[in-house]
Amino acid sequence: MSDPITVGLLGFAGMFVLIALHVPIGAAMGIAGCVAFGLSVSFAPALSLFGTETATALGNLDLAAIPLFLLMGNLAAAGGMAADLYRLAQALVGHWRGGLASSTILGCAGFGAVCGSSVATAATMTSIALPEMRQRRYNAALSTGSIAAGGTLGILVPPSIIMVLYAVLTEQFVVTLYAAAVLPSLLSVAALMAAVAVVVRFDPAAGPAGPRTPLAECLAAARRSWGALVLAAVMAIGVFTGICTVSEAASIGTIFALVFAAARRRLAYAVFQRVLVDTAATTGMIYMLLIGANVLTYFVTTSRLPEVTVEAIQGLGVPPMAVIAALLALYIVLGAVFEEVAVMLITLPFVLPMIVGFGYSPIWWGIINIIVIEIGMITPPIGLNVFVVHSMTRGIPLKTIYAGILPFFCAEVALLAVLVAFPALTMWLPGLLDMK
Amino acid sequence: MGIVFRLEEQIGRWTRAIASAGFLVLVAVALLATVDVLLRWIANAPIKGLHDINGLAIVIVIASCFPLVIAQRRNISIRFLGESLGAPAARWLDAAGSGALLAFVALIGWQLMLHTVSLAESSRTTWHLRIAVAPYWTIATAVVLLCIPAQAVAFLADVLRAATDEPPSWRTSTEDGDGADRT
Repeated sequence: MSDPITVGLLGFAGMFVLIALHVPIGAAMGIAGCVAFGLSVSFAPALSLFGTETATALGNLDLAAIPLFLLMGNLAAAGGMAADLYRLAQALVGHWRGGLASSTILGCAGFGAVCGSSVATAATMTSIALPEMRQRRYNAALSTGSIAAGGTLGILVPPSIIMVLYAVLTEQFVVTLYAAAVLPSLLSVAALMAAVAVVVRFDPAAGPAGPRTPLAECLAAARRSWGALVLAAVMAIGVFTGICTVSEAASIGTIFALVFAAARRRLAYAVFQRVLVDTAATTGMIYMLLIGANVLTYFVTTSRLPEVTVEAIQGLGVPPMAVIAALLALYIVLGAVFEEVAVMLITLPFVLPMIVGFGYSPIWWGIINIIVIEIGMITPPIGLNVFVVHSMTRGIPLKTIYAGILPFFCAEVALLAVLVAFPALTMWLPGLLDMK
Repeated sequence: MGIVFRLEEQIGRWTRAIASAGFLVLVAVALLATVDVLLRWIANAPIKGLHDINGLAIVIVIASCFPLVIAQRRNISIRFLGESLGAPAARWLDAAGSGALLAFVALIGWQLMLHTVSLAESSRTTWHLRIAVAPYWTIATAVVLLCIPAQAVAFLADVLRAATDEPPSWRTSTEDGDGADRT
């Protein structure tokens, strides 16, 4: 069998069959990529891909930012930074109607700036924000919906782990991606807070207003949050001014979070051990996915399947925007079923050449890709963040959480439509910083 | 049968220890990088050859988490089919997935070993400090090779669970059957 297109299609079909048969996604991508490459070229070079791609992943210092950001996020959570940020947001906007839900969104965005993972952000915020909202008699749907939706900001607000992966896989400059993510992150926070405002406008009992926090307490909350604010600022300044690389910024952040947590006496030996093991497990999971994806990517690139598909679509005269709309719908479905990193890794080798072939920027697509994966993470019937929140809130039915998600889902889809229609919004800051 | 399950628990403890040691090295890497940035920024005097040292350390750090992922079954898999076919079928599918993962880690271990042998034969060194890279890659490869017996035990345990209809102790799926799981 030598027709690369046929082998390519069979390779993809084989990968999905393996995934359906409970084969871990990384292994399914690797095995399918190796067999398909072996059938279309030869098995000796196909097998050697496991050695070269593993060695490339292990030795890549750019990718080292991933375990460092994960470690920093886990240490920041152990040091209580997420709680500090939530309390600050609560002091500022908690007295509004729906203010605690808005505080949750702001807290998630703030913690996303020192964490980089959606699931970690949602899990951390569930334990911090939900008891407060329950105490203030917030509607369960609004409470859980705001946490699950706010948690998705973890992968959009820089520094994001998934952006490091995207940058390495697509050979883009990760700082450009971070710059491109700034405005969409702010718009996303605004859209989610607008969704809270709409909910409490129609149902004021869903999020009753609370007492205004005195100025002295606001200042005290700001003082308590100094660690998280300094950490986010140091990393942003370091990366955007070029004082340090992204990996170096992650290193500085890790040491800062470690010292901060230790100084607060919140890093007992058992906690530190758990932080190290949790970080290692997540890192290993991402790298295993990455190795499988790299084997698959090598095969897809040599099969010329993406180029042939782009040519076929262009031959049909379908407008690129219609193809992009179809892709986005597909991503929302995939994001609802697969884990966030897996979705990107499975689709990128095939989708990115199409997007670039249509004349769009890979930086713009990176941001769009991440936002659409975010939406997938709160989309029924699965939605990973919804399950994270649900697993930590026994007693609140899944359908209640999904009902709470709906306004946030609509807000995110509206934002996505705006960013797709106006790529200049995403590319504004990279252009301003001369990074395009 | 009990021996396999006890061995599985023992492997879990060893892999946690290996990963903890590896990630302590990561903390050291982060500390060195921080000092380097400060020295570069304040005194324009970066640590010479730090890139070489970190490059070698990271190889071992990342390798150290692979056996843990295997032992903790943190690889992501999708379990829709098993959940729609019922628990016994799901356990056999889990065992099949486990077998495929064994093949995957065996291929990675075998080919990484060949890569390391070629590094040793070519006497490859780092760019600045001229440190021989083969010893570090040998450590990393040895750690990655530990994934093979770890996954072999996990596979055997999965087959035994499927054959005896014993529920997997490691399942982390929610009661509602979220369909996505770590195996």
